[in-house]
Amino acid sequence: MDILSVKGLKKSFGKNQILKGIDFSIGEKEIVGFLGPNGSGKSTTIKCITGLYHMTEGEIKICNYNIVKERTKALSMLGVSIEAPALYPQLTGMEHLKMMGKWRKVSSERVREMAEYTGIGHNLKRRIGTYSMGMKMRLMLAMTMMAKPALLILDEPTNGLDPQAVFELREEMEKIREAGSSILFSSHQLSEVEKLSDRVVILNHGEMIYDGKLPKDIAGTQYQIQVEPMHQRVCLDKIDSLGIQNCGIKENTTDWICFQAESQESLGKVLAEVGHVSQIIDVVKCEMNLEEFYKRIYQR
Amino acid sequence: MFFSAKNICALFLALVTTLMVYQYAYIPAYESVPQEEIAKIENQMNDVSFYIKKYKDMIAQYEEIEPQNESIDDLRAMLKIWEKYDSRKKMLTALWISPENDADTILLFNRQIDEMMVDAPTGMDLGIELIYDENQRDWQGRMLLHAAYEKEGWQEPVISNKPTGGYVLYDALSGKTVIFLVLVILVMFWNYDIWSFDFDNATYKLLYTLPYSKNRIFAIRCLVHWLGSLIGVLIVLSCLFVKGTSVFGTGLESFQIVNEQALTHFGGFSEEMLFLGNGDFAMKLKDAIILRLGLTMLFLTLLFCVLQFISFSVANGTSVIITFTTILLLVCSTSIMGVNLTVENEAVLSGDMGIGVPLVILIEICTAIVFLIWTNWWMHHREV
Repeated sequence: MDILSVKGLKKSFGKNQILKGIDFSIGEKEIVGFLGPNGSGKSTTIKCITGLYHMTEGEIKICNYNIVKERTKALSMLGVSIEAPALYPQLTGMEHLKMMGKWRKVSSERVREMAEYTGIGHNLKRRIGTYSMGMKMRLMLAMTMMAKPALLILDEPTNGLDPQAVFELREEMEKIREAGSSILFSSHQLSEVEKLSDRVVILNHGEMIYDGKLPKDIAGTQYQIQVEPMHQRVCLDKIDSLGIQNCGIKENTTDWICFQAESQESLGKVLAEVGHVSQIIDVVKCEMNLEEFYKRIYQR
Repeated sequence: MFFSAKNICALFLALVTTLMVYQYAYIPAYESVPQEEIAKIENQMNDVSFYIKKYKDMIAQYEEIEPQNESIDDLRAMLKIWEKYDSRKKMLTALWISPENDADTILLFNRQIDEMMVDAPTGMDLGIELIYDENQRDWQGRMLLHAAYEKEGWQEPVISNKPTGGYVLYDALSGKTVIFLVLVILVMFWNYDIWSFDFDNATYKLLYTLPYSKNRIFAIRCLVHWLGSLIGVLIVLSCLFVKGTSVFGTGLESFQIVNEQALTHFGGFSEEMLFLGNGDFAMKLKDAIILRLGLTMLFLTLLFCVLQFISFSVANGTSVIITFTTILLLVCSTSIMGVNLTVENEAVLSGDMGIGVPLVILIEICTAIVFLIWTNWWMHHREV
């Protein structure tokens, strides 16, 4: 069963269409990274999923509960943290946990368990206003996990966190996945998305331009091929016409092309096609990280 | 979170202010009554002498020119009333020096002055406001009170504004006192951030993603705040009552004048104002307090509903206070079709407002419901 199913999601504000038809899903125990530049529609998508926005068109289901028709049931499957931690400044950390425990109807033992989970210790007795961003994030995470949700949605959870806090958050998210929850999280920290996600969904201008595995998980080997500068574009088109994955111009070069060959036979086909058009100066085997992959996607 | 430090502090301040008003307004006002009565009588004496002389001159004139004129008897009767009024008032000047010792005599003389007018000849209106002590309706009201006290066998108070528990409670609920203003400010302070707080702190994201319907969230929050506000108001009023009772007793064995037309008439009755006094009757203070309390609670409920709407629409705490205060001031200085929008309980129950209590209640309830429904609808449709 898909924990989250988004089909044909469209969202407009007046005449301004923000989302132009988003389709993706998240399975059980899956961590999906949600990427895109500012203004691409990530937060809008997340707000539609959590019911904060009314979608113009489309269908969203969480554990098969429709977010519009079965809103309360759908939300009972969710744990949500959108942008900065939403906390009441006049309450202490412990009061927040108790309050969430009551709202989510969990036992006091679970509340205690979450209090320990935060790792904030005696600081839980202090008001939120005295907390660092890392402490707030840990508290927020504990609150979202209070009812053991099937799906955890984290919108830019690493904002404002120091490297140590980011590292700790990554560890927590792994534990959450092990405990049985799926996670959808958006972040600008590509390295964190790369380390944590099973899959990435990339948006641009309200459209989904990629939904698939991370480059490190894609079958095949990354290659870079150096050709004559005047033929770079033609060679790229040739490689693309072969159906070769993840091909594109290497950044800041006029003569290098990157592509992914699943087998030696694929590599052979590429070299043969390119050889018809241009002199092949060099062929290099390399690793492609998410950053390069991300840039490649946007180029296309 | 309604019982936050901010709200508890506000309640404490309201209590302190109320007790200070009692100590520095009600008590001095009561203690200054004898001196004021003496000063008032002394001021009146010149006018009384003038009117006595005027009547004597008119009688002399008639006796000279038209000795058979029928008006001479009426003039003589009126002159007797004025002379009796003059003698009683002069005696009262001495009695008001120690009113608690001479209470019975003061009451007797005041009653005699009022009863003189029962048989007063009609048409002899020259200076009559002095005897009525403002207007005929006031005099009628006093006569009703004399009869009510006599019938019930209760001691009529010499000083009407004696700050007993019952009196101060009744007065505070008139709608035009400092204490009433304190209650309005208290309700405003408790509820201005009922919704704006969540927008100021972005905790609406937490609230709206809970597995509860928005209707339920809306209903529970409004109910808690509304009930909490009314209970807080009752606490303030209870303290006022207790303070007054501890100093001067409950004072519940007394009467106030209420207008029956105002209580039962649905709609306006401004053209009947001339005959309004005919509907006045003496109501026991206990019942009059309950009536005013009911109207006050309804009015505060209306304020709450408007305030929570502004809090949701403006979504910023400071702006809510500014907007609400501006609207309140505008409403207080506006009238529609001759009806002042300031709902003063005293004006409503005396009929001076020109519309009946049933219509006031209906308008307040309907307006409150409109604002509640409007906010609830907006909560379902707003996207932040």
